Amino acid sequence: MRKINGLDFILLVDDDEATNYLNQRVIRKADINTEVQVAGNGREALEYLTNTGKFSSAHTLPQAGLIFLDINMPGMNGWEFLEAYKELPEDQTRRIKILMLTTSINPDEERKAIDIPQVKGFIHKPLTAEKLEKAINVYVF
Amino acid sequence: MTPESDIKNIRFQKMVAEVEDYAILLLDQDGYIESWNKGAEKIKGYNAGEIIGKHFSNFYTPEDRVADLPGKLLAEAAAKGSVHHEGWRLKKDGGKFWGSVTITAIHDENELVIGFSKVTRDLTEKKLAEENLRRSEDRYHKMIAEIQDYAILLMDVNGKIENWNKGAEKIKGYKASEIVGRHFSTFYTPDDQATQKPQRLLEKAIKNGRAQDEGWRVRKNGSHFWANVTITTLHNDDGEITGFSKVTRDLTELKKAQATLLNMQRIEARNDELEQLTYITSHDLQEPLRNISSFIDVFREDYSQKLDDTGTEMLQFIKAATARMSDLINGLLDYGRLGRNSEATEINTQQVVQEICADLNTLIRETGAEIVTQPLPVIVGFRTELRLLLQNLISNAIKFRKPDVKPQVRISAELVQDKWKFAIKDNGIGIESQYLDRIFLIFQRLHTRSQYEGSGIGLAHCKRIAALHHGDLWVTSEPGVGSTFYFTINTNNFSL
Repeated sequence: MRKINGLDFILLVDDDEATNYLNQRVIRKADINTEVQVAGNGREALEYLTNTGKFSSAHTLPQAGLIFLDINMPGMNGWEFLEAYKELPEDQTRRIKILMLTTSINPDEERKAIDIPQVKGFIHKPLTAEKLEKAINVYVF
Repeated sequence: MTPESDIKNIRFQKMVAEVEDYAILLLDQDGYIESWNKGAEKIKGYNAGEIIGKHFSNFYTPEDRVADLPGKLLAEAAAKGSVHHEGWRLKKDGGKFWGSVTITAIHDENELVIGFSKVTRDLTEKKLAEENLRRSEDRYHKMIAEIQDYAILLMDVNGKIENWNKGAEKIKGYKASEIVGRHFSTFYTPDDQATQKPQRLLEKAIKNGRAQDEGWRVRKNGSHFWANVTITTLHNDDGEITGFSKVTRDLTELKKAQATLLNMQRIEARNDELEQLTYITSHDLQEPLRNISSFIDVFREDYSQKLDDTGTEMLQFIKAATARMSDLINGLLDYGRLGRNSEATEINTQQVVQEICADLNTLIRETGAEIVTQPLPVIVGFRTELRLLLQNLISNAIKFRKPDVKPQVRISAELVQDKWKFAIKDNGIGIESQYLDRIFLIFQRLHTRSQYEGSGIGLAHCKRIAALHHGDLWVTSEPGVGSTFYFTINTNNFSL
């Protein structure tokens, strides 16, 4: 198992269980030593980042990792999550990279996402081993 | 010493003699002139010496003399005491003046007529002014009567029609004789009559001076027209209401144009909605499909060892069906996007066809297809879409070939009125007549995929592309002989 510096966690934010299952499998097959967590919407993702709600039993705040973020989700969607994310302390989020991972082929959405400084990239589903490696190589190192 | 009465008499005579604005003269009982004053000289041009002793009919026109007007006037004055008459009279120089004449009979103690006094005023200027006024009013009435684009009518205080112009006849269909005297509510729909709209309009006109309205009105033949109506209240000098004027324009054409525009806007809005819907559905449909596809891959990866041949084959079918559905959804998405973000440019269709033939090179070589192109025009349109249209039709012409006959495709174009009409003719399997319309509907296919591969979207795309160019797409065909697909491109509707 590889331990990658700066990749303490990977957070999958998607309401689709099949997608999360497949993405977890891709990460598992990549043989990376990292914490993999799943959030069903933006609200749960925020809870993970702040050790609240579903994740209140965690001891330390996540500081360095990758977030794969879907756009269309029930409750807090991807855009709304990004708004809330901007309010988190910069000390905590400096080493967290967000990548959009969606089925959207709408160029407007891609442009909108790229205009948000917190968003580092835009990936089309499905997540594959190649896309994952590329994401790690480009955004974590 | 002259007696006091004589002096008064002289003074009186002098007074009469000196009056300048009236011709005042005495006639004997037969009409011969006995005295003449300054006014008479001024009005009629004779001096006393020339005219005294002559008959007063000298002042009358030949026509009046022939009709014995002077004699009749004297007779009437003799009978009734006096007579008044106005008419054209002659001056000494032959010029005419409009005389207002009062002839009064003079009687003796026995009530016998012994002569006449005659007072004449020259009212030529007043007469001319009146005539001018009358002529101008006449012209005005004629003008209104002749106006064709507006129905202009007068109504009495109750709303009954008093006159009718050509425009009214043209717009409402009634002749003056059919409608004058009827109430203007005749032009209103039963609904408007039931709600007393005509009366309400009159009340409003009385209150505000005028009332305006737009709405459907009824012609004589029962058909409706969209009217713009202005009713204005008319008053006399004392401020009393004497009636109403009503001006009506027929705005049916304008109304129709507005309705068309509105419909077009509605259709555009609906199209936008549909496009949005198509986009969202295809997006949402793709997601589970992608999962199925991914799980098939994962499943195959993890379990292929444990599957027998039947299981592997089944998995292949699932995979193929998934890929096909994905194609269909993408096709649907493309269909919705056609013509979006495209700009019309000049296109050399000859060149486009050459490029397509180069792209289809493999298919053409494998099938031995012969493609004959007549000179094709440079047109203005959407390049990507037109290319897709031509490519679909050309590849269809090759695809639907007879099994053992080399495909021949002929492409030509001609200018028909203001449209380019393209024809793509093949010698393929042809289409039975009952399917000629259905082939243009999205997802409609006539053949199994093992016979002819395809999604059933191509011709629907083509139809839409032709429509984008304000043209059409259709086909003529003879089963077993071949088909000719035609499409038209409007030459006018695109600006560079």
